Amino acid sequence: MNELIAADAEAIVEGLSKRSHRALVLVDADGEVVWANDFCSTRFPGTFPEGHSFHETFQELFEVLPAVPAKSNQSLLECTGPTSTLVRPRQCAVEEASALEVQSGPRVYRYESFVASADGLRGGDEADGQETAGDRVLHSLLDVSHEMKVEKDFFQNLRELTSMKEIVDILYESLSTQDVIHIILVGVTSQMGLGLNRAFFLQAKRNRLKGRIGIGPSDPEEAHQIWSRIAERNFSSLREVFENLVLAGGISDVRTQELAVSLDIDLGELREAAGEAPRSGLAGAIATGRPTRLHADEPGQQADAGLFELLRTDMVAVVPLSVQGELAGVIIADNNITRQPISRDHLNALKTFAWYAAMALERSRLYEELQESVTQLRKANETLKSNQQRLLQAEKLSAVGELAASVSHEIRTPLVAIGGLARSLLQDPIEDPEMRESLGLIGNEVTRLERFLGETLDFVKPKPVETITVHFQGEIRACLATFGKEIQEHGIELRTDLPEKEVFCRIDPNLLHHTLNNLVKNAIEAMENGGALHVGLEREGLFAILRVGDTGAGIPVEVQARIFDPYFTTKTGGTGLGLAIAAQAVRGSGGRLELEDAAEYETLFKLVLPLEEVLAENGAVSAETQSTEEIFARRLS
Amino acid sequence: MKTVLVADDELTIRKLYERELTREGYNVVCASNAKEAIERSQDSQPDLVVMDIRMPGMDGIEAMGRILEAQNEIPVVINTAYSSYKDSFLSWSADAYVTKSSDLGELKDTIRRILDKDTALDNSTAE
Repeated sequence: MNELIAADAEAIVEGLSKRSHRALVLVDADGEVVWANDFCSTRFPGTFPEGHSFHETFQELFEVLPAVPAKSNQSLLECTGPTSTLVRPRQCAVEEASALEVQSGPRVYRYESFVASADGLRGGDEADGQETAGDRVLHSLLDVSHEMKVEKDFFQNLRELTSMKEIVDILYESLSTQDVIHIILVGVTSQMGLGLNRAFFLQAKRNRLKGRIGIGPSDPEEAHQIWSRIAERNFSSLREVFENLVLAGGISDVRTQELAVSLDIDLGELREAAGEAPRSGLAGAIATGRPTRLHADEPGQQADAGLFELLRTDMVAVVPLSVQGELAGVIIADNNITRQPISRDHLNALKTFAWYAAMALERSRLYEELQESVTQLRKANETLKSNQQRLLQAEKLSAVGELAASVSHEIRTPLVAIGGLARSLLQDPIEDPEMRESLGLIGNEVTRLERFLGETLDFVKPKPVETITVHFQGEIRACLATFGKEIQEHGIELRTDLPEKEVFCRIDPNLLHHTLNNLVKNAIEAMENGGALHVGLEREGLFAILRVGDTGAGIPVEVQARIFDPYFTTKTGGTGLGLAIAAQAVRGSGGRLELEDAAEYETLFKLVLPLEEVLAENGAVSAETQSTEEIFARRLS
Repeated sequence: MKTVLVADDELTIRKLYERELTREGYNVVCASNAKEAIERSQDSQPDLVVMDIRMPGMDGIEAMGRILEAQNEIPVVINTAYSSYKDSFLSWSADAYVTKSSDLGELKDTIRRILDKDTALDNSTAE
C-alpha cells in the first residue's frame, strides 16, 4: 500500500466533503467548531458556525433515538430515556449493536465521532477512553433517514407477513370461526403484528351489528400490566399469545370484552341517518366496503358520535367484512392508550387481516350450508330407501297375489265338491256312527280350508271397497262396546279421548270395523293381567288420527318391522293377516297405519285417515254404492 | 214344483247341486256353458237360474243379460267362487250373489226366499 501524500489526502477530503451526505464537523479541544463541510452548511444552514460550541448546538438540534429493536417485545412506553454522552457511540443492550441514532425534524442521522490526533483519526472502539487533551474531534452525521425507513418498513412487513402466515395456518387447521377471528384480533393488537392498541369484531346479523370479541387494554394501567407481562413472557408466535392470554384467561381483557359485547348498532337506523349513498363515517365504510379511518372531530361524523363516546377515543379504523357481497361483520381498531394516529399503512395491513376474517366467516357459512345439505340429502335418501322398500314390497305382494288368486280359485271349486258331497251324504240316513263322524269331519276340514282361502283372496285381490262417509267416533264406540266384556274380565282400564266435534272419514265401514277390532283385540290380548288401553282420536291438519295404545307386553324390536307383513304372526293359530288386511284397507282409503313410539305405552298404533271435509273440498271422487231399493226399482221398470 | 236351472262348467258342482236341490224339492235342469244355459232357459222355462260367472266362452254375466232380455222376470242367482264381482254393477241386475261354498245352506236359503216371494206374488195377482 502506498502512503497517501498530503495532496491526495486533501483531494480525498475535498471530494468527500463536497459530495457526501455526511455532515462533518471538526471541533477543537474547547468544544468549538473549527470547520464544517459543505453538506453540513447546506443541511444545517447557519447552525454550526465556527467558533460556537458544538455541544450546545447539537443538543438543541438533535434528539437521541431509542435503539430500534430488530426483534423484541419491548413496549412503547419503555424505550424513552435521556441522551447519553455524545462522544462515544452508545452500546445498546441488544444483539445487534448499532451506532447512535439521532433525529432532527423528520430526518434520522447516524452519529459517529472520531478523535483526530497526531496519529491520525481514531474512531469507534479505538477511541474508547483514550482521548487526550488537545485532541480534536471529528463528528459525523450520516443521513440514514431513507435507510431507516426501509429497515423499519422491512421489519414491519416481516411482522405482518409472519402474523398473516400464522393466521393462514390457523385458518386451515381450525374450524372454529370464533377462534380464527380471535387470533386475527390478536394479530392486529400484538407487537408481533400490527401493534394497534385495541380491536373489536362485530358480527352483522339481522340488520344489526353486534359486538362479539374485544381485545386490548381498556386503560393505561391495564395496558402497562398487560404489555409488560407480554414482554416478560416473550412469546414467539400469535398462537402462543392467544393460547396463553386469551384461552387461559390469565390476563384477560375483560373490560374490553364487555365493551365489545355492549356494542349494538342498528344498521337500518344507521343507513337512514346517513342518508343516500353515504361516503363518510361508519355508514360510508359499510356502503363502500372500504376500510376507513374515522375521526371524531371531522364534520359529518355526528352519526358516529355514539361510537366514539363508547370507545372513548377519537380515531378508529373501520374495516367492513363482506361475504358473498353481503356485510358479515366489521373490525374496528383504535389506539386508545397510546393515542398514536393510525397510519395508512396500518389501514392497508388491517385490510389484509380483515380479508382473512372474511374468509373464515365465509368458510364457516359454507360449512354450515354443507352440513344442512348433507342432512337434507340424508333425509331424502332415507325417504327414497323406504319408498323403494315399499315399492318392492308392493311388487312382491302383487306377484304373490296373482299367484295366490289363481291357486286359490283352483282349489276352491273342488273344495265345494268335496265338502258339499260329504254334507250331502250326511243328509241320508247313515247307521254307522263312525261314518257319520268321518263325513262330519270332512265337512269341517273343508270349511276350514274355505275360510283360509277366503281370507287369502280377500287380501290379495282387494275387494272394491264400499267407501262411504263414516262417523269415526260412532265406529269407535261400537267397537269398544263389542269388547266391553273382555275389557272388564281382563281388568283393563279404558282411557278414551274422543273430541266433541264429529270426525268424518271415507272408508268402507267393514274394513274400518275389521281394523278397529284387530287393534283393540290385539291390545286386550297383550294385557292378560290387566293394564291400560288408550283410544284417542284427534284432528291434525288434513287428517284424522286415531291412536290405540296398551301397557301390555309390547312388541320386540326385531319384530316391529314385520307386524304388517301378511302371514306374519307370533300367535299360535293366528293367520297373520289381521294387521296386513287392516293396513291395506287403510292405505286404500288414502291413509296409513303404523307403530308409534310413546313413553307411556308399550305399544301404540297410529291410524291416519284423510278427513271427509278435506276430500269433499278437493273433489275426490269416491265410489258410492246404491241402495238395494234403487236396484230393485230399476229392475221393475 | 218349481224348476231351477243350474249353469256351471264343473261336472262335480252340477252333480252336487242337482242332488241337493232335488232333495229340496225342485226340478233341476243343468247347463254346462253359457250357450246351453240360454237354450235351457227357453225350452225348460225355469223359475230360477243359478249362474256361475266364470265359464269358458261367453261368461255368466253376458248369458244372464241375454236370458233377461228374453225373459225379464226370471230371478237369477249368481254363484261363483269369486267374491269380487259382488260390487260390479253388472251383477246388480241379479237378484242375489252367493259365494260358492261347501256349505250349501246359504244358496238353498236364497233360492227358497226368492221362490217363496214369487209364489206369494203369483198368488196375490191370481186373487
